[in-house]
Amino acid sequence: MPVTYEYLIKRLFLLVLVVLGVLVITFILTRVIPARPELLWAGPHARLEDILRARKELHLDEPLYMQLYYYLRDFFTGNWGVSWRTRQPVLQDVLSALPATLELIVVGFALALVIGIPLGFYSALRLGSAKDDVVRSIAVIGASMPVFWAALVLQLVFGMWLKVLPAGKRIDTGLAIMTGFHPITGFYLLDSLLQGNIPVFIDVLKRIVLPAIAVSIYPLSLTVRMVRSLTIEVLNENFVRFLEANGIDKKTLIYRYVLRSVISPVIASLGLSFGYTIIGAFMVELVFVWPGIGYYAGMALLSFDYPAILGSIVFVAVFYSAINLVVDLIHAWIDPRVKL
Amino acid sequence: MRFISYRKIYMAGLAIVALFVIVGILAPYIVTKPEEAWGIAYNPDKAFKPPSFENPLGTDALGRDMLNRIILGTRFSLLIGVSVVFISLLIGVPVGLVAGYFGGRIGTALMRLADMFLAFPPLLLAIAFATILGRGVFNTIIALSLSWWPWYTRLVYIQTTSVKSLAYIDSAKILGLSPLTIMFKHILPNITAPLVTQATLDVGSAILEASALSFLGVGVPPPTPEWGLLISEGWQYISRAWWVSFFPGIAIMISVLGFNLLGDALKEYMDPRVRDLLVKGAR
Amino acid sequence: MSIDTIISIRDLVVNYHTFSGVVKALRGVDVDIRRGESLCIVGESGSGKSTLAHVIAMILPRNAVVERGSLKYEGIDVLRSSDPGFRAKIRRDIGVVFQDPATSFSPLFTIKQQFVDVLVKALGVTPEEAINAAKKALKDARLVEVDRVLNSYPHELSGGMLQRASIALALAKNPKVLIADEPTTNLDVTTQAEILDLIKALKEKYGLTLIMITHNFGVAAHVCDRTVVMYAGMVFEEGLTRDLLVKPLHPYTKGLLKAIPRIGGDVPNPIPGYPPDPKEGYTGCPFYSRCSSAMPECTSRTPPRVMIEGRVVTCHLYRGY
Repeated sequence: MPVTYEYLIKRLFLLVLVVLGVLVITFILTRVIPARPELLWAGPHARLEDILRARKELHLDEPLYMQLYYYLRDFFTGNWGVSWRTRQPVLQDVLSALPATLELIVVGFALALVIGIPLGFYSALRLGSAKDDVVRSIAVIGASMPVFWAALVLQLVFGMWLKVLPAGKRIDTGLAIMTGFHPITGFYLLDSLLQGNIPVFIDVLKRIVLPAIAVSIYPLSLTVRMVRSLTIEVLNENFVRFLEANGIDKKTLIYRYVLRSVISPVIASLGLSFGYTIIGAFMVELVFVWPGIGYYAGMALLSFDYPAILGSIVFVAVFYSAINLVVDLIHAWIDPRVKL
Repeated sequence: MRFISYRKIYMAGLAIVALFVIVGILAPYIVTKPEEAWGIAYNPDKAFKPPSFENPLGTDALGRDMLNRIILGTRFSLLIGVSVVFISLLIGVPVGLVAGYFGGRIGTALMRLADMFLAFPPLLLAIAFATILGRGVFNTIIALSLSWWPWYTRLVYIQTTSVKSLAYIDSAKILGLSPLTIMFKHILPNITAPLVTQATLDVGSAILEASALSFLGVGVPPPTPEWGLLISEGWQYISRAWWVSFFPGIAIMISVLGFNLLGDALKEYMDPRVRDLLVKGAR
Repeated sequence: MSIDTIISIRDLVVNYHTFSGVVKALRGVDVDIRRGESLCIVGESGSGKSTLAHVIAMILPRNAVVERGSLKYEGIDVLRSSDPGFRAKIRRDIGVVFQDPATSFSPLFTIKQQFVDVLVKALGVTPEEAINAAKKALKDARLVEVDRVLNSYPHELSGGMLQRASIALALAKNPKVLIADEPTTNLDVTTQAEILDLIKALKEKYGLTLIMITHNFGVAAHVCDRTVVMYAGMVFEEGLTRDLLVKPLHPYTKGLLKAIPRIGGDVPNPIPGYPPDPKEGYTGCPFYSRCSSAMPECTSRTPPRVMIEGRVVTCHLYRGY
């Protein structure tokens, strides 16, 4: 599979470039565009001394290129400032909120793919039938729904009215203490399994279901629509007719050849779907009070906590770029045509 | 047009979009309680009334009629959705044309710039812009447009590079036509099809993103009856008065659905093979 | 139907339902194909020649409908048989080669894998046996580096090699019939000649019935015993290739031959005008507007199918015979 070291190095270099670009953009956004950045930075309740201190911290009296230098230097040395709300270093806050978000995103995204790909495939194979129409309808409705609203409705219906599933909190701390659960990776689902702690596992599972479903709605719809149209395209390709005419087994043709041709472009666009999942997860976190980066950033927005806002944005952008790199690598690994 | 009439569902999409546009334009004139809709008048004694004959969609925390507010909200969604797409096209398409046509260093540089914007997950950049710019309808439009235009640039760039190598472009160059003419009179008409489809779908997406920004508190300010803002206003009382958050969400969903259906119809229409497969009489 | 007729087509009418109208691809075709012969179907784009091939191979797209007529393979009507075993028989007995070798194989799998997947079902053998059969077929197709080809992906091979591989795949299952739909159109001229020779040689070697679709009379002259000339979904002339070349009867055939450039011959004379819109119906003969021998009845009455000198002509000129 044609993934060479050269390619890897080149992509990593590009990644660094993109990260720099992201940092420069956020720098411009927070220091250059605002007319008086120190006012913004000091916050709405600032006193004169806070504003002066902000000026000093932001090096606003120094030339712009020096400001950029300090900015970049700080980020690359891990000094992302201190959150005004939590009084903790921003980087630390973000990293500790990461597992919660990651767990939610992974479960939600997995749901979207595991249900979405087969559903889209199935629908395309029955093109024009009533079943196809049903799937398309569900998908187009799902793609029209605002995530945060869906999360609210789910929480309302299943959490409050029907009381079927708990809404809010990742884990029942009381139960955790009682059963001697302690986090290892921060991914509670994984940790509870690793410790053989089934009651906690079930508890965590119950609590992640609603948010995960909310997160998965949009990427699921996207995946279904994409897989469906890709499959229709592939089924029209020449090689499908050629192999079929010469006697290949229909099932082999569909589930090996057509499927593989569909999966390749799906993988290529996974990165973007993942991007939507990330943003969706953030809004779901806000609604469900799920202690992840989205919740952290949301709280930061509400309290004008600029270091935290900035740190969250940069982190997510860098993370997203890294994910895209991984996706591209996987795509190149699978598809022998991809030229590097 | 005939294609849309082929399938009922696309007719429904067209109908929804038409309704959306009409209501959006006429909204201030058809609301029965304009002061409530604009958020200026309050009726504290009628707060949290569930849906009834008098208030078909209930009232909110300040006693304002939800139906009125939602109808007026249509105007804002229409305004923001269309403006964002329009401005993004205005910026993104020429940049993409130039990048694709000239290629080389200019092209790579422009695309790198676009890539840096695209390195952010959708909406994140808009949130950042919106935070800096502050709340407001105009600011929301700007924030969204600034984060949106690179998508069109990329789309146009890819299309332009593939159209560029067609024979008639070479003939145009030989004839001595200026690059501007070639780009806008020859290349652009050939790539409008996927652009129009994408733009249609994007109006729906813009409405969704605008509502998300408002929900997060960085979009339009209260008391603007923007749908996302209405949802967030009802969030605190959701257990007491679910209708305040519920119905604006339905409004968003139906509007975006209309644009999605219309966009789907266009997509199917553009692809002759799929188009023929779905024709009546096919097995 | 005589004993040595392997495929018999009667009054076949096939329509494609498209968004912009119903395309009448075949408007009543009668053809007999004898076992072991090589038959060329010659025509312009839109004449229906590819559709005819696709019907025989049972690979019509979803929006194609057989309105009426029969297509019998070894006596059994293909179009009306609901027996899945019969369909499998068709797949085994008929090999198909398409015009564009680059898109005939899946780009994501090796040639070897695709051979195995086809042969395992078409021959009912194990994968190892399938690989052996593949190697033999590739050698037959005059490919030298058989192992390299097998282990390659399609995009790593040239057009000529891919077309040989396609032919090999079509023939590896020992079919009785080979349908080649414009197999050389996408290749360069030297390779064209090689592939045609290859097909001819393999046909002789294995006693295949060859059906070749082409728009080029030169190809027909090179390869085929008999030729069918099609136009606008109808058969205009049918007969031994050399008879058609030496003494074409139908005005269209005459026109086609005059349009071919010949070294030392006259300046080629293309037939003026265009074929009719396949979505339109017509009365009389579809060639009327371009025919130099046109007569009044050509617009009002369908030209009769007449047997002359062992050939078939569909034209008013020969009505009295």
